[in-house]
Amino acid sequence: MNIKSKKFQHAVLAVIAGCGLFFLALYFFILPAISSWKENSAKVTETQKKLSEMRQMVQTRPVIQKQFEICQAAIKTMAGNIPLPVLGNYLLGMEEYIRRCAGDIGFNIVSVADNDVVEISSEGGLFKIYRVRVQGRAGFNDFLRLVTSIQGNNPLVSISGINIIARGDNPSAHELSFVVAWLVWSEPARRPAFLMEDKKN
Amino acid sequence: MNLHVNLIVDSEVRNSSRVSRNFLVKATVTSAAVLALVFVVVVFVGSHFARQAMLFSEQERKQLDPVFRSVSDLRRQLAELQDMTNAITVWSRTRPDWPSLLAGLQSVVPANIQLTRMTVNENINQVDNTPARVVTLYIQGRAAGEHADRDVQELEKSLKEKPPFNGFVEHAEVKQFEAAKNEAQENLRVFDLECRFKILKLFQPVKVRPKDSK
Repeated sequence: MNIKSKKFQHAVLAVIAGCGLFFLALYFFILPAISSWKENSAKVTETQKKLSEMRQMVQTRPVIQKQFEICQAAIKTMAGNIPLPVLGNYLLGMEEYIRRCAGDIGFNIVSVADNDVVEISSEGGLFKIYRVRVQGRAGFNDFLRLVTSIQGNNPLVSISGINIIARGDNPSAHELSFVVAWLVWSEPARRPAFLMEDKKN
Repeated sequence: MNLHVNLIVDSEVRNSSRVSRNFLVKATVTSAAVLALVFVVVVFVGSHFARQAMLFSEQERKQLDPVFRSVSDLRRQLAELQDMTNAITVWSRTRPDWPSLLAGLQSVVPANIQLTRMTVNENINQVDNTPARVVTLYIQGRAAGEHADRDVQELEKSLKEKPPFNGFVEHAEVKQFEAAKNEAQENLRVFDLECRFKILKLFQPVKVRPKDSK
């Protein structure tokens, strides 16, 4: 082959041009296409994985819905025992409850007064404990009946802070004071919407 | 002198090899071109299908997203309601059963012991980062008779071991036992008894950090 021949020179030029074109095609079209292919394949794998998780979650909807309804019903029942303030006042309702429990029991209630409010959780919990102190005079058995009535009529009411002092002049009637603690909403306006709807109805 | 005259034109020169060089070159070039073309076609078709699959998956995800979010919300609301239920239930379950404890106290106090004072303190304190009821019962009384010490010990033991106290009391101890001052009766003793109840933990919801949403 004569390298000086035009045919040879044309052939070399054609090869160089071809390689150049191929390089350009590779750089601007083929490599981006390969990169795009890899990227899209990875995205598809990730999306399919996410879709699988989403479908699994969606499939649990009936179970979650049922549990939600059961929980809601339980809370509606229990919420009846959680007092709400009347114009910001809890004591009125609580005193009425205690006196109603005292009823015909021979317990002489001298006073019912605010004791304290205890936060259960430091991080903005749902509930707090509202405590009132009751003072009175009665025999031990009458006190026992009153305690039974107070705790029996409301499963969320708790007795504590009991102080019984025997009286020398009257052994059958002791000086009694005790604390009655209620579970109340930390913020009644923030309680679940379904409870507030029920109240409106 | 030998002269060699070659009358054959270059184009008529035959190669001694069985395969023509021209053919090899042409075949190589053609094969390379075809392979390159196939490669390019495969890349573009693959890229196209991958893009279509990605778009389809994205569309499916977008369609499923609202339902998924509503179920996620429902799940979150359920967790909140369960926390609420647990808080209420545990509060109710941890309240000391004072009706039975007070009735039980009547039955375990020996006949020759008279209680003069009974005090119950209940605080709500943090125990292991959880709110808990901490209850202490103090009893003051008088015991008469020759076996006053035995009777007070019996009361102490009953408050530790007998129902209903054994379910609530962790520790009972006579803190003071001495002769009554300024009393006419010789065998009269006064005592202080302290009972510490088992710590009753209230419900503390577990704080779960939400997953980062993409």
